[in-house]
Amino acid sequence: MLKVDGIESWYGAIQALKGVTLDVKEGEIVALLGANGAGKSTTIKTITGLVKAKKGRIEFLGQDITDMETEDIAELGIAYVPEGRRIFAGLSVMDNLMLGATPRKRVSQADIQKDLDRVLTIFPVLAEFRARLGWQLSGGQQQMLAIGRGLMSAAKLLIMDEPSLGLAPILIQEVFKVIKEINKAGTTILLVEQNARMALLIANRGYVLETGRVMLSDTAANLLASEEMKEHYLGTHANVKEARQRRRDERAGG
Amino acid sequence: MNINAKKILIPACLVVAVVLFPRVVASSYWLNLINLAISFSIAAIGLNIVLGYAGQLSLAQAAFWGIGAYTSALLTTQLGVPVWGGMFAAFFMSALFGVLLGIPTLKLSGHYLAMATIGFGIILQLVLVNAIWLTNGSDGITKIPSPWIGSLELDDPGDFFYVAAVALILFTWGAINLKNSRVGRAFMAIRENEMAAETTGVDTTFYKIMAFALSAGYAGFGGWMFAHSCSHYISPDTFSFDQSVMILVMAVLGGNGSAIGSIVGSVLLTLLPEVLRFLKNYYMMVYAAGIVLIMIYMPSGIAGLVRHMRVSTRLRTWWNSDSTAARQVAASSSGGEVVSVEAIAVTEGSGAGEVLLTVKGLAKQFGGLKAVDGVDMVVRRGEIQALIGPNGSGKTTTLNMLSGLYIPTGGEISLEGAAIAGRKPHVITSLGIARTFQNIRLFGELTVLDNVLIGQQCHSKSGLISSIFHPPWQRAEESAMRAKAIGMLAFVGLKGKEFAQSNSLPYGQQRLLEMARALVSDPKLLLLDEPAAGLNAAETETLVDLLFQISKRGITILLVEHDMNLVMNVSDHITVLNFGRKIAEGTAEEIEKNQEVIDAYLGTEVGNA
Repeated sequence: MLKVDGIESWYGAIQALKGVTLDVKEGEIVALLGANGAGKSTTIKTITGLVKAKKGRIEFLGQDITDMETEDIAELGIAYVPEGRRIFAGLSVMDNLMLGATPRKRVSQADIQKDLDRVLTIFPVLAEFRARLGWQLSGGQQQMLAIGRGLMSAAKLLIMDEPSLGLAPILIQEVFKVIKEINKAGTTILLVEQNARMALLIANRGYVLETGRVMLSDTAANLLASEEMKEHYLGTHANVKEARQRRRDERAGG
Repeated sequence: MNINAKKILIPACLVVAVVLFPRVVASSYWLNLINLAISFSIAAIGLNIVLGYAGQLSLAQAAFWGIGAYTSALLTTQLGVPVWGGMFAAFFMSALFGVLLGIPTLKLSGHYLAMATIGFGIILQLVLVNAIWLTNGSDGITKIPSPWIGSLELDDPGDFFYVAAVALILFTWGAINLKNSRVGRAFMAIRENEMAAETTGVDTTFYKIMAFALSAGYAGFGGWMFAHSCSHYISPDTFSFDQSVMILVMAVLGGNGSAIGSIVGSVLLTLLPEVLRFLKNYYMMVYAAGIVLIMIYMPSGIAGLVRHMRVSTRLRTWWNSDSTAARQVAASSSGGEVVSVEAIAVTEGSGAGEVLLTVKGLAKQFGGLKAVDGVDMVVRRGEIQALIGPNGSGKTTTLNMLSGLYIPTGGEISLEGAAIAGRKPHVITSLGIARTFQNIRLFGELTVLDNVLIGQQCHSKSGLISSIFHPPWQRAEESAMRAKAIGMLAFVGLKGKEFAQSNSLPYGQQRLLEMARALVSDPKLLLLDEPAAGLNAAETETLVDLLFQISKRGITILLVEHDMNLVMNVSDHITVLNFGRKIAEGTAEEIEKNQEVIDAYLGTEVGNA
């Protein structure tokens, strides 16, 4: 469905991507993992046309989209749920959702209404607060709204940047559940996450970026089991537990 | 060689240039224009202090320029005050009006502030025209005297040029000095992020008024020069809104925040019309088109363009390589760990376990929404306490009340027994509560080192005068602050990044920098709002170590966080909020098993979070 072949992107004089190659097949959830500054966000910004690739090629449904403008890419069926929720804070929940349908041309009102109903069924909280302004929502509700807005474009591929950022654990579980449901209903998903464990639990496959290159790629199950992943990205918590014990001993002693 | 070059060669060149200039440019017509350009330069540098440094848009600079001109003209022609006396009066009268304009406009920002300043300018012009008994109305004031030195009257533009040049050098030097000082950094902190400036200990109200006053004083001085040179005649129509816009263009065209740029902009805009006069009827059009083109192709002004040239980069590297700050940083890295240990004083044994902060019945209502609804909480000295709860449960609102950004609608907060609820953030910072923000708020355009220097605002003293003139005690204070800042950066793991622009740091390091900025104010209580957000597992483990290090040095921590791996492992005590109310508190082990907390917040897959 999506083929990214050796893209290189620059921010001014800094090369953020040094040849990233990956692909997403129809119906998959693919996780894109890596440390801060590894190039995850740049990769998806390049795919969505927000950053232009200097080298390499991006193909979506057999069509070359490397040099296309963001709004044209959106029309082809790639929706982007940006990091930090970036909803339109001064607009109502409904307006935010309807704006998500902007890339769809020549579509009947009935179809849009059908998708709206679907989004409101997935996120009952949005139905409840449909008249509220974006900034009046809590962080979790904003994230739901951002995902809902992405779904309104009836995209074939939904790209999500850190949907779990700043959310309570129970909401993170909920967001991932929703992502899984959306996927089951037929939307392909490319998921960028810091929370590697949760992402791999719902993903089919994963790519791990390091300093602008793909360092690892495997099935989600293999990545979850890999020692290398545990040490660098999943966290063993062994060090934390050891540090805690040391602190407790010191406090008890002193 | 370096030091000699800077301390002797450059001033020597300046002196020679100033002395020779009127001999080279012998025409009084051009010298008069140059004097006028210098008068504008000083007003534009002043505008750059309020706009470029402090980020407040003022469109009344010509009004202050006029107040200076009129003050001195009236004093010298009506009361026979010596011209030099008029000079001081012009500066201070304008500065006084700057304060008067500054106070009512403090509540305004952006275009509202700009409109208020336009109004001020228009009112002033109306007063100049209509208060005939004082200003002689639209006829203006004639026969304004030239300054005297001994028995020499400086009525020749070539002679007056010396006064103008010396003044320009002094005012430029002052503005540049200001940039590397406590007051100048406070200005820039306001420009970069007013909320963060306030919680970092900058009294934003005070410094905004100060910036307005200083900027007006500069303009007033420029006005004095205008009145006593050139035509020795002033009238109200010179000090119009158009003129304010012209001074704004001079400052912006030259480069926002650059004193030298202001001079270049002023000279260019004063001389360009004269050069273009041969175009006759079209000259204003060409002039205007030229300005538009420059603004389009040099959005950061002439100074911005020059800054990116290779020659200037090299020159700057040479200049900075030997700066006191650079030498101090270099010395610290050869000195090793010594400073970093001193950066945070260990306040061990100062009553660990006793109550540091008490919160009673704390409430905050926004319209009909009760964000925080009667929360009681106690934070004990030396502990790491966590505040958790669903999104929207009032955690950040609580932190905002503790740090003074919100005024509680009910309840009490006391730090070491003293009530602090409703006090201003910078006061609370100086009392010992520092914080970081959920969505990092650094002073992005400033260097890493500057950010941490601003963090010491509340424990340093240099005022406006010493910030401009850099006397020895100011330099000693700067040096001590830098030493502490360098140590603190090493402590959080940002050694070697001192001169990087702070918004160029990767995300994780920006979080560390924000923590360093808070720690350097020597807080008793450190408030952290989601310190692990956006960090991966490995980075979070580093953060845990850092938190323990901070705690070990006697600083109490209250943190809001969603990363349960972090919360459950570092917290001595956890408070849980839901819908603005406390639903549970206790140790990590107790909270993990609490059914209400599991239902509202943790969910069932705790182990995976």
